Amino acid sequence: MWTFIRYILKKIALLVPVLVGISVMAFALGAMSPGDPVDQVLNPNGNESYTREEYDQMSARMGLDKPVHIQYINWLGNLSRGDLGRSFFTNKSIVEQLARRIPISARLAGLSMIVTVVLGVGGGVAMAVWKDRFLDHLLGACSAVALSVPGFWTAIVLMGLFAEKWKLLPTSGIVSGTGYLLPAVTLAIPSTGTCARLTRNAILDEVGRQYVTVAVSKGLSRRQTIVFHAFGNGLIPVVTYLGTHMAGILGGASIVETIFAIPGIGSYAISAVQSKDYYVVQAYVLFSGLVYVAVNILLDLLYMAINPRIRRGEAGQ
Amino acid sequence: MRKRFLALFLACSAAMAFTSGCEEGSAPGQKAARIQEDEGGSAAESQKTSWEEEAKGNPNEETEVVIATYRDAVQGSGDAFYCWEGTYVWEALTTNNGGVIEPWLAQSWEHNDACTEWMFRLRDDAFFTDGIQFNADTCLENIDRWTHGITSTYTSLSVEKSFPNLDKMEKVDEFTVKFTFTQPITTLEYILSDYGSPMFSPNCFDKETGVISDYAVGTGPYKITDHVDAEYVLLERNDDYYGEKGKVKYFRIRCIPDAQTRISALKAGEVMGLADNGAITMAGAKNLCDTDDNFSMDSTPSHMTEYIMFNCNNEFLADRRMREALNLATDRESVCRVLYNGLLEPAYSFLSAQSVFHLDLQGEYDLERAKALAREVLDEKGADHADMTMIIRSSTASDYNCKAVAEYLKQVYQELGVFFNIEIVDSSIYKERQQEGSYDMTLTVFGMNNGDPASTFKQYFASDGNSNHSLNYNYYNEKIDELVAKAPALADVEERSRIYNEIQTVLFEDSACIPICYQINVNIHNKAIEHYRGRTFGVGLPTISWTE
Amino acid sequence: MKLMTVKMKAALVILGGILLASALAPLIAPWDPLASDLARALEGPSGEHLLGTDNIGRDLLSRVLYGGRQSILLALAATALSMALGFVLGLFAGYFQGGADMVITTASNIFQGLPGMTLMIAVAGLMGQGVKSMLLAIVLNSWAGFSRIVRGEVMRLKRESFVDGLKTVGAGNFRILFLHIAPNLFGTLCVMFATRVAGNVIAVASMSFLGLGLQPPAPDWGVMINDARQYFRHRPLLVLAPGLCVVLLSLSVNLAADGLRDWMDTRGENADSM
Repeated sequence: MWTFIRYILKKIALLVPVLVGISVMAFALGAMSPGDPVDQVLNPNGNESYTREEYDQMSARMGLDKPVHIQYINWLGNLSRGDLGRSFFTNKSIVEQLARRIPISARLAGLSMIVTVVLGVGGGVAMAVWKDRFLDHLLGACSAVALSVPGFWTAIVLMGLFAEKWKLLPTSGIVSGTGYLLPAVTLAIPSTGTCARLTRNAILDEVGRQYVTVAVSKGLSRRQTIVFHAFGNGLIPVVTYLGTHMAGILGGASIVETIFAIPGIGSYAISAVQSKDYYVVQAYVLFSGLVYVAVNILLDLLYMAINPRIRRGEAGQ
Repeated sequence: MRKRFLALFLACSAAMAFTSGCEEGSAPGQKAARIQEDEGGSAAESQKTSWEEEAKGNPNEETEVVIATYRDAVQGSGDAFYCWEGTYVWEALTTNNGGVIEPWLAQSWEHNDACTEWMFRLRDDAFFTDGIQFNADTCLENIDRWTHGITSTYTSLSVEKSFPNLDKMEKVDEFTVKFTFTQPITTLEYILSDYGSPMFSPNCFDKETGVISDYAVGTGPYKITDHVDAEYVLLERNDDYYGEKGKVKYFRIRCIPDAQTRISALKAGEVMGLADNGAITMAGAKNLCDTDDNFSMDSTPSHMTEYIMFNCNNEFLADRRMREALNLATDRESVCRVLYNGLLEPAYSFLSAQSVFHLDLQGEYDLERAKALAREVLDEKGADHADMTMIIRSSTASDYNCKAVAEYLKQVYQELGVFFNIEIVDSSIYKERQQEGSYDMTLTVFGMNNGDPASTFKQYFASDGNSNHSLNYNYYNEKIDELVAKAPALADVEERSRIYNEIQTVLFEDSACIPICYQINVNIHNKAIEHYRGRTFGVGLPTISWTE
Repeated sequence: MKLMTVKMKAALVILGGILLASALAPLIAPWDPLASDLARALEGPSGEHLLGTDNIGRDLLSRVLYGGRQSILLALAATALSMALGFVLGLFAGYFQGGADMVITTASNIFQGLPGMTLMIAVAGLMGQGVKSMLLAIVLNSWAGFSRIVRGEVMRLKRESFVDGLKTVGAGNFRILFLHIAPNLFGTLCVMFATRVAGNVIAVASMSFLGLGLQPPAPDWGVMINDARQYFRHRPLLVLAPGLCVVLLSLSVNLAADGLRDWMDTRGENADSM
């Protein structure tokens, strides 16, 4: 038990510098970007003039008159108080915006994950069970195509067909709950393909192992073996993939969200990066880093559960 | 033991996947329904009240009209104006209707001969939707609000900008205010129009900070009843409005940032019309109307013009002949016919066709002469070709189809021996490049807002013009300097007009810049609604109604 | 399992076709991809223009033939660079472990934790558009994945008996690293490269779609898809043709990577069982 806790704490300790590193990089990216946010706020249309005084005042108000490292420290200080600052241009509180948008992105990610897990894992199992038969080849081909299609192209085609032409689903927005469907499917297609292939390979790897031959020789049918034994053990690479994929899309599926007008954090991030809204970009990158770190810890917990050798502190991985 | 743990873990992760961020595990269909319920009655309503359904009674009273814009129509408390003027929620003292200043919350105004004292007589029948009357007191309270340094994504709002050199402002009687200035000001009514003087109920903003709390209350024909950030705003008709009341009772303005998605939504019947800047490209509108009978297009004149501006510091562009060559090589007719689907007029004169002082010059397209002139200049400089850079702001490129124009012109100018790189950059880099002068040409779209072009000519083409310097056009022409100096002194409009004609002719003959076409604002809507007309800002919401 | 399965053959044929067409584009393209003719804009397929023309009258077929060149080169270069960087760092981390390992692993965690698309857009904003910034963006985004895998493999190899044997004989660390361990990674590297290239082809197309890629009027599949969106109803071929090319390229690389991996796996198995 104690090794377990020590292991977790050690993991967390290793990941704190990662979070710090991410926040520094995010800050640096913003600070190094060309363009002047003070000028952008005072002169949104490009044809208004302002005095040196007004510039200095606004600069001080936005906290941009101090040297970069002081700005970073101020930002950290505010962060500890739960204040992520305000957007330069819209003046809206970033924490409030994130609080509104994260659940939306999360719903999208969740729905997309369901599709991926059901179709991907299901497909992978089917391919393994009926290996080298027609179904295997068919699903294999579909998976290969699925992960070769760029997301924005799928989005355009799906929107054109299902929403515009056949009017089955809304083209955009989440005014009606069904608005989550098309973007979720768009997101899920490449990952379903990858997941199916991973599952198939993972199961077949296990099936090649000794204990399966033993089980089969003891009288279990091949199918039963796959479903009840190989599946469980082969789970690790699949779960790893699903975990990191989830972390990725929880961080916001930027392009898909923008095309389908989903007001999640992905579209928030893209417009902030394009308008050089530093604080928003920093907050977003930090959030994304947090998700990544959290998922990593969860995955490690999972490995420990599956592989008791780690639990017992062996195998210096 | 291990197997049970594993089974438990599997169950947990399955549950996690199902529930991440949403309600308890349910099938996607159920989940969608529950989310729909959560979004509130309005979401369910918008499903039911689609325009295809027959409404009992008058559809104008029961069925909402959905319009889409590229940005959220309500920017919220952090913004000085709170919401877009096109929501018809707030009003200003005056309004600019196609170049003509009309009374709005100010019924009339007058000024002394020196233009240092202005009196505005305000309407006595305008009420904010919370019941407070609009009068001199509320007017002055609003102006005071602008002293708190509130910012906006639309444009800046401050006393210095709206009332330059203000000495004092005072209430003369319940519906009259007087402004005194230290310097004469001739165009106050222009400056105050629309975004120059927004008026809100004093109860909805904080006196100390000037920040408006939800929702803004104005005097306009519509009021805000609901707003979901970055999704939609619901407007309801103000039945106590002093003027012409809106026909439709409910509007929903949806925010769809991607241009193509907006068109999809329109085509699918989810929205009835598109509005706001860059709502739809010319090609998009024309294609949609030509191929689908359900839509119709409306265009309103715009003061915007598309130009190629030069940085005359470039050794080749400093020579008038090179500029003239490029001008002659630009086939405006083809550009307007093909790239703008015949909707725009070719431009030869700097002032837009909407300007009262526009001079109708006719240029020509002569590729052979252009090549000869360009060859002359290149030979003199001993070069066999000229390398240049053209920068375009990315928002302009997508809103006005400038990318296609630039790509086309690149091919054409190559025949003259002018090879230019096209660089589409975002707004901040664009500004930087202009301020540094690290460009040779720029394809841009801009226009004047106020009526009198004297300041614009000076700004862009006079040796001491501030845009001429800050944007690095570096144009120098003695004759222009002379004419620009003369104009403001002349009180007689006819004489001024003659000077402006002369300026336009000189600019044209000197090829100071290359005007390409005069833009229009295109609005597109589903034929299920009618009287959908573009205004200076937005579309006229009060006039829209469902078609019988 | 033989290397040249049906799947592998199909993949190589498609890939070969695309690469050949792109390389020979200057010779086989019927028109200059940049030559615009406004009078013939947005035409459908015809005898002169086999796939029709785009919005300023450029031949679609020629643009499609040229469209892959930059993307393919960029994807290859980006993958090679990130792999080189990831390989070296992973090698050191895996072999020497301890302090170097911690630093490199933390760094790779940081870069993997940065959101990909946002990072790419930010880098493009920083360095201006164009090939250099896309290259940098992709390298920053993907080196960590490589280094992780390499590190894992190196650690596994290190535990193999032959390394101990070499050490007893007195071989120095660098000798072991580069002469013995590195070559064993060759197979893994090949598969990683092939897999990652497919992903990067899509990443390049996505960035071009967002307007971050090559400046106009260079023909590029991602840019072409973006530009043609507004004509989708009218002339769907303008979107479908470049889109199909991206899919085919990505698909063929994926399938080839698969075939390679399958062959390597079975070879490895046979070696084990010997």
